[in-house]
Amino acid sequence: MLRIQKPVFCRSLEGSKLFAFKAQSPVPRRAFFASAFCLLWGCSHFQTFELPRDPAHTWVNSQEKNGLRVGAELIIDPLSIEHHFGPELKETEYYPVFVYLENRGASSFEIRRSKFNLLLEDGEKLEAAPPEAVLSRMRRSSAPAFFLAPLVVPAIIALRNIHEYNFEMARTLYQKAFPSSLRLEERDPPLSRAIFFRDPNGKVHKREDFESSVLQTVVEVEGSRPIQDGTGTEAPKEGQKAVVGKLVLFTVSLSGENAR
Amino acid sequence: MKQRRIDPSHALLLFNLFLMVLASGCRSPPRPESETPFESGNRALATGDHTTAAAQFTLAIENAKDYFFTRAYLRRGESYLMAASKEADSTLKGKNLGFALRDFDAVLSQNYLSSEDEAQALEKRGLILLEQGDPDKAEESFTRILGLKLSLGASEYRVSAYRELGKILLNRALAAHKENPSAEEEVALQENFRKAQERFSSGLQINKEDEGCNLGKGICLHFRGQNNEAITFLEKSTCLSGARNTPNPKGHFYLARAYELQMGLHMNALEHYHQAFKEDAAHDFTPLYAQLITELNRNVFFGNPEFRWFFSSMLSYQGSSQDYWKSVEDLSVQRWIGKALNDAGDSSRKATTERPLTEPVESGVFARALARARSRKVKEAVEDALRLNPLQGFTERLEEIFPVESGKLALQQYFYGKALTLLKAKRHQELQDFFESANFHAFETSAAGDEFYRRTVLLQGRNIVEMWQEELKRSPTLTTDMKVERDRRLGKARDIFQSYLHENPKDYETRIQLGKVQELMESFATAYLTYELLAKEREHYPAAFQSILKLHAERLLTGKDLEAAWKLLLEYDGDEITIKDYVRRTKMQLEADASLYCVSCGRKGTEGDTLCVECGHPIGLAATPVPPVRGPVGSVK
Repeated sequence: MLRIQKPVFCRSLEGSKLFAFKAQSPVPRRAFFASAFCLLWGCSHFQTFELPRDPAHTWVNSQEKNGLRVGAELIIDPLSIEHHFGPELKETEYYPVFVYLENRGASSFEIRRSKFNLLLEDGEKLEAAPPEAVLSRMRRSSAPAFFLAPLVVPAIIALRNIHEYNFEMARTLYQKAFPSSLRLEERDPPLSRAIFFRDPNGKVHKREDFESSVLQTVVEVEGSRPIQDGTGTEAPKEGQKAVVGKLVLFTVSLSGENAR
Repeated sequence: MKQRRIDPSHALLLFNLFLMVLASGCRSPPRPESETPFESGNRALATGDHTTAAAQFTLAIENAKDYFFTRAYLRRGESYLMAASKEADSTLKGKNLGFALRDFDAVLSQNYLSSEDEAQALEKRGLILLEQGDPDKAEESFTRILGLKLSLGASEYRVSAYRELGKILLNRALAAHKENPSAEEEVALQENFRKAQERFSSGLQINKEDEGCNLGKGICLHFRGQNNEAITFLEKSTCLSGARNTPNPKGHFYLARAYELQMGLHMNALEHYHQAFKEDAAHDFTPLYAQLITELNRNVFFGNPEFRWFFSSMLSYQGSSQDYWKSVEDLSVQRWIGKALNDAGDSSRKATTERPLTEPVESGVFARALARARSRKVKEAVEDALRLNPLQGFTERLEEIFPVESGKLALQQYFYGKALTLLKAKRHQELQDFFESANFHAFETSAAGDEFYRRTVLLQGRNIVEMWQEELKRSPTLTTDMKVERDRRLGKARDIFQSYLHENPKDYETRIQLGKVQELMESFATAYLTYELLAKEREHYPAAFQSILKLHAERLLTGKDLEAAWKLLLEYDGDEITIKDYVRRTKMQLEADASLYCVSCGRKGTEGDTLCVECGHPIGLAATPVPPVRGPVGSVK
């Protein structure tokens, strides 16, 4: 279900003296506000910060195992959420976490989004959600453009702008979100991605609930892959050391925005 | 101005009032006779006289007759609990805990009880159950506190309940904790720590200044890999304990660990390791000492300024873990001894003492000797201790390896080990002094009948013998006075051996030693008897045959004993070459001698004679009754 939220700036505009009409009938005033809202709704641009590029080792709470270092940062401040993902996300029940990865070892790692959990101190587990699910909750409705339909041109502009806004939002979200699975090879550059967590029961958590919470994930360390030669037999190359793959658990403390 | 005059009656009244005020101010505090038993009990409890306190509260309970005096029951239970906490004797401690539990259970069985009283009784009951080693019932007791509606003033009971519940869960988590678990196991193990952490956090939500909750949460976070966060809570805990001047070795140790894992072994971590060691008065907090082993293996190498502290601290462990000492032994070999002793032949003490030990090897040998002594491997510990014999400070080191002060766990073994080392190191006078020390006399009275005690006393006998032998080397000719002295001293040794053999008749080595003492006392016939019994009892026992051979060869026996000794030697069919060789050579000599005697009259002929000049019978093959062999003694030896 789409939920249309009344933006904050609209509420502040309503109370402003600039728009204090002295018209006797409230109808023109309401019509004016509705039109202005629809236009602004359509004309605003989607702008966010770039993805943080800090390597994982810069985080004091990061953890290293088998050469892979994982750091995590919970974005809980509404302003930060707005700056990183747009104003719509803070109105949803998703909690964004930046995950920082750095492979300093000789192994390759396979990291799956579904293996990430946000574990609260009281034992509650928040699950990682795909960006599509988050996007569907963030998308702006094009309904205001229909209100401007009698004016024709503004309506078209507004509709186009809303589409553009949603497109930018989707692009940003997909660029920043952690893919369903990710592979880190030796000497790959450090990377960071956002994972959106949601309470499985849809419960909205307070800021205090996240105290002493951790990000937990199980990462697969790759083992030796069978080598196919012409005869169909599988044999390791000469001088190549066989490595047995394993699962490694990371439990990373979630730093606040000022933890670095 | 009109002057006001004071009325004399008023002045008298004022004076009396002044005297009354003065008198009331100077009154002594109420005498104990005027106190109720409950008040007396409280006073005694405050002064730490728990036995009197318990007696007074009992009186108060008895005086109350049919009325259930809840506060008196609670205070008496508390008195018993405090008495138990100070009691060293485990039986008395258990008894006091039982009395305390009975009182708190009596309180809890009442129907009309204020929630504060109930919380107090439940808290103390839980603590007693923990002391009694029943964490499940204790958990139930503490959980009941959380269900009570307590006033703000009594919230400390709730904090205490959370803290103790956290501790129970933490102990369970630590017991289940293992090295290198699989990812699935690790998730489960971390969940255990999280549950404990949750309890501590709940306690901290009520009181952020609670030392135990801060410590518990810090430890949980550390085990969950959240060292940066753990530091905050552990620092708080150590600060609180520091301010109260109470020891907190766990707090300092885990803080050091968190620092080390977060930032490596730097000053902060070192400082807290030192502090943890200082505050662990009993030296039995095993994780701390196990970590010292790890540090010595990985980070603190020989020559490092911190090495001496880590090394000596590691060896000062007083706990009961045998695995710990096994690790110390392994570390000594891996890190310091290496192949240094194996190259020279590990068991060959002579070879190693000839080549001086390098400083790291010396440290390694010392650590291994001490570890072996603590693991009750006395013989191996003695072997290592002997390697340190030629080095400076041997006596002090021996004291450390075998500490013979009272109160040690394996005191009997230490006495034996020390005596054996001194004997093998040929420090006879030192050993004699040791046997005459007050420590040994105290040990004698407490350990009589113990196997190690008997063996130690036996060493005293051996020491007397060896001391006398050395003296004999210096002056081989004995005057009469010296002989008297010899008999006095060796008599003591003989008595020791005989007394020991009375208890352990199968100790063949000691029987040989008894024979040697008898030889030294020139009681050769008795000595022979000792050897003969031994040779007959234990077939082919070479030591017994060797001793008989010596007596026979040196012609120290006479008459029947000499004959019997020869017969015994003839019967020998063991593998000892020297004995067989002696028998063969003696036989040959006898045959050669026999060829010179007449077969009929026994008259000795001369070489070349074939017939007796007296009776005309042939000369030769007449067996001489006793073989008077002389000469090949040295070669036999």
